[in-house]
Amino acid sequence: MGAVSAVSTTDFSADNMPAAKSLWWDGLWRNNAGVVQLLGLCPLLAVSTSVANAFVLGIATLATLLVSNTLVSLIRHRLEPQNRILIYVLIIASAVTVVDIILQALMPAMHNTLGLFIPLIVTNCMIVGRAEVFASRRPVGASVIDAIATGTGFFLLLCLIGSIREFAGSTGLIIALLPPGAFFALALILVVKNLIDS
Amino acid sequence: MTAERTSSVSTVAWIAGVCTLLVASIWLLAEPRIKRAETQYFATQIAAVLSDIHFDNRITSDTLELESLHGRVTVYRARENGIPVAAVYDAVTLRGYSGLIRVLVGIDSNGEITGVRVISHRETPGLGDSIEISKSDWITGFDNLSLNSLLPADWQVKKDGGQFDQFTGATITPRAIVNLVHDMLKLHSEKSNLVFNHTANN
Repeated sequence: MGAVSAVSTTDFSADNMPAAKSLWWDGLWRNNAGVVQLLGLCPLLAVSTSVANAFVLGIATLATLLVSNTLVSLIRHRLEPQNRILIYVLIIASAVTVVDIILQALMPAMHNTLGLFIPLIVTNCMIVGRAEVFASRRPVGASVIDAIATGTGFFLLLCLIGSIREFAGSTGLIIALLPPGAFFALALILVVKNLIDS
Repeated sequence: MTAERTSSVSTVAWIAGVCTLLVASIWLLAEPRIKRAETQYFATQIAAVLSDIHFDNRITSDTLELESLHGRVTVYRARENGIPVAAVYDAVTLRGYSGLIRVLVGIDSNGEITGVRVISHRETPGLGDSIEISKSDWITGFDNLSLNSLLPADWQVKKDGGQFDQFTGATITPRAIVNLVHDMLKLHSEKSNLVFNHTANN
């Protein structure tokens, strides 16, 4: 708690606007939530057995992040060190519930398949992470771009892992579809990314 | 200090209010669609459970409520030219690993199972969810069974000395389903006069 509050109390009202281009670069590659920060691994590994599942969970996570970043940024001047975590939880839980209801109405079959993993978006640290590190100190415009960039980075990673696992599984490599397969696929992507970066 | 604290609490309170309002209004907008999708899903599951049975009545409005060991069970009756040909038992069991498991059991006029489907559950993904037809064909193992085809002691998972497979890492879930299906067969044989001779409600 100490370290977190030390960071967060420093500039709650510092409305500095980073360049949109660097936000995109951060979200999609340099600071990708999945492969660099290694956040949100639970859904990333659990739901990536097929491209279709990964696609829908990725979109649902992106939508949640967009709503949560926008709302947190809108009320950032009312946040105080002692109430901010409570407010993040309220906002994120509401956003996930809304996404869950909409998915249930529009894609009932997919909603059944993903089951518990939609409500579990609440526990994706990436979302509370963006609220705390970014949206609580930046204007709405920047927070929206940050949400879309970070969410898209996570979405693309989910789809990539989903494609790798579904393809490997269809060639008869059953382990790709089992839980260990998710770790292997993620490790493979980490290796490639680090090779490219170095 | 006290004033600060009050304002901090009131911020949380109005944000909670706004969030509740948001969720409630989205739910009100989406509810009719969700209900319609559920009705549609239920109809396809009824059809799946009655795979080979020909019937011509509106089965979802020809119902009967029965009390059983598993609480209240809704029975949907399939008829052809007014003659009962099969019944679908819509029952829930609490004996699963997490929460309610809702199961449809179709039984024809000979007391044979026409099909079983789990229509909702919260069992562990990857372990207990093999009871779903989309994950494994375990559930089709009940097809064509009747009280005459197995001894009462066989209506258990293999681990308990019966004849149904359990899943690796998950015994509680299949045990609950086997138990429920067996109880529905027994209920059917006890109440078959009531189920099949009762005239249609609608």
